[in-house]
Amino acid sequence: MTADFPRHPGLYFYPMGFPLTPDMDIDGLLVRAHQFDPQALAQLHDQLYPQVYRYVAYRLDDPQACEDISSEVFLRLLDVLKKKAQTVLSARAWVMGTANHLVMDYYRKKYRRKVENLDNHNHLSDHPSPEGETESKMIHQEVRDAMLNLTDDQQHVIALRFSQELSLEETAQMMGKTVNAVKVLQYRALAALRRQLDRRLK
Amino acid sequence: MTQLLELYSLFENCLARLNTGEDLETILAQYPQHAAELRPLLTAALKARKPGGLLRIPASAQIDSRTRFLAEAHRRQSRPKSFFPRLSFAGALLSSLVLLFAGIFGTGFASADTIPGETLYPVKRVVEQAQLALTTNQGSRLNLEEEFDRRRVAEAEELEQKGLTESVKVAGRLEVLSDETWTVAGLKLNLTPEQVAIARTLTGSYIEVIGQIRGEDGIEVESLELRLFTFSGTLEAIQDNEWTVSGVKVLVMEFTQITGEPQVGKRVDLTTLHYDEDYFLALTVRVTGGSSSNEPKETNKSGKNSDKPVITDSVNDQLEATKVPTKTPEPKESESTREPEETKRPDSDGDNKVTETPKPTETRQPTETPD
Repeated sequence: MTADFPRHPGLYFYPMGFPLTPDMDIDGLLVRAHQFDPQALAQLHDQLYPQVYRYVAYRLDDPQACEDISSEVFLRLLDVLKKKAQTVLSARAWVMGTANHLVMDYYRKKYRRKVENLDNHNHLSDHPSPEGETESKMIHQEVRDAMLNLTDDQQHVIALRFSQELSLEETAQMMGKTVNAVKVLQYRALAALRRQLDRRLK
Repeated sequence: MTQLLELYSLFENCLARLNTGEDLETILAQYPQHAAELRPLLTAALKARKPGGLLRIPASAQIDSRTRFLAEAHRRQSRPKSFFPRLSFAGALLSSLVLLFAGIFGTGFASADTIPGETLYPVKRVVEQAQLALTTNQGSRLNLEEEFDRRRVAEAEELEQKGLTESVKVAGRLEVLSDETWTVAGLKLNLTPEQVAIARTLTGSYIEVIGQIRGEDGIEVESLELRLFTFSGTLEAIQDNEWTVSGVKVLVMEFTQITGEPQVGKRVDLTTLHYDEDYFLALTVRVTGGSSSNEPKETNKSGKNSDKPVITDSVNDQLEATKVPTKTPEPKESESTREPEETKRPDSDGDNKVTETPKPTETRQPTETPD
């Protein structure tokens, strides 16, 4: 039950999901980011931002909250960077994990305030959009709502795998789990999602 | 289990093929024996897949976020670094000590020989407290406390000789002379009849007396109680009733109240009496945690007890037997307790961790999940 990709001690960052120019030294980038070198920080941000944003947008239907949360993830990354460099075993796994927690916090607060009825999605039609797009948006909202009844890990695994089609290995790395553990987790997550969706249809 | 694992792997294959755009029915046709099981899950997967390919990232959002990120980084870096980064209690103490000592060296340890009532006397006491707080070795800390107790006695003796009146707090062995004169560490005590009754139960014990010294008339006693020494350390050895805690020898008797399961290597908090030159007698032992190789945690500065040990009659009897009679002491507020520095978040599972998943905030699930 070992992961299918190598581990590296100390500071390391996996350049998996995005293209890197050959001369870009990702280790060097993180070392410089640790020293708060603005250029390195900007590069790091721009490389990670799209994934974070997609992940958060997958889970919430609120563009403003999505921007806020994505941005907050990076502010928190500064805390980690500032401490010892080796705490950033994988900056990407860290930002995605943090995005997950912030999304969960967002929903918790929303429940607490009871500001909005979750089944009320009138704002979906705020902007006129083609028929097909509206429908797929509705479906996705249905999935989002159903997901809220899943466990934290189940929600995280679904969002990682389906917000941007991350591979099994990448997902395992981001969740700090083995590939086999993720296989089991995603199977159960989708079974649970299926049950929730069925329940909503009734 | 292997069958299940196969199913999970099969499911993963199907997911991967769905992602490449293959048709659900085509995929399922290849696994007729699992089709019924996989179909609902794969349909859910199709629904869960974000429609319309990869989401386009609003450029303005990314730029805004980057600007905030860099501005915050700049703000944090340009913030003047404090002389002691992440100033801790010990750090603060150390810095004030450095200043204090600088001052003291300058005046040739002027405060060292002061007695109560003199201007520099409070300085002497502050230095002592700081010394105690900075001594992490439990054995030397207790020695230091006793050394300070002896200083208090010496000060009182000086006050006595000079015929001065001052408030004092002295600790030492309580003795009664043949002419019914009560003394602590050789200092004469003036006791009320009620206090004499208490004193009888404490004869021979290491006690603490608070009162007013009036020259040669001795100390007019306000209170007398057992002197308690509290400290914490790592339990290093257990030999019969003789324990070693961070180098300090402690006697553990039948009346000793033990909380938790003491094992060699574990950390313990102790409330003890000064038994004799070599031993402390434990009244309470509290096992506070697992094995620790760290330096002993700081205990409260005054060495005074913050948990009031309950001394029952049977305890009294046994104390009698060990020639250390007692009374229930008044608890003293501990002067300082220190929060442990940052605690590391324990990993939530023992899985083969590939990366450290961060937990910046505690999260709970919004709702219960029937799984």
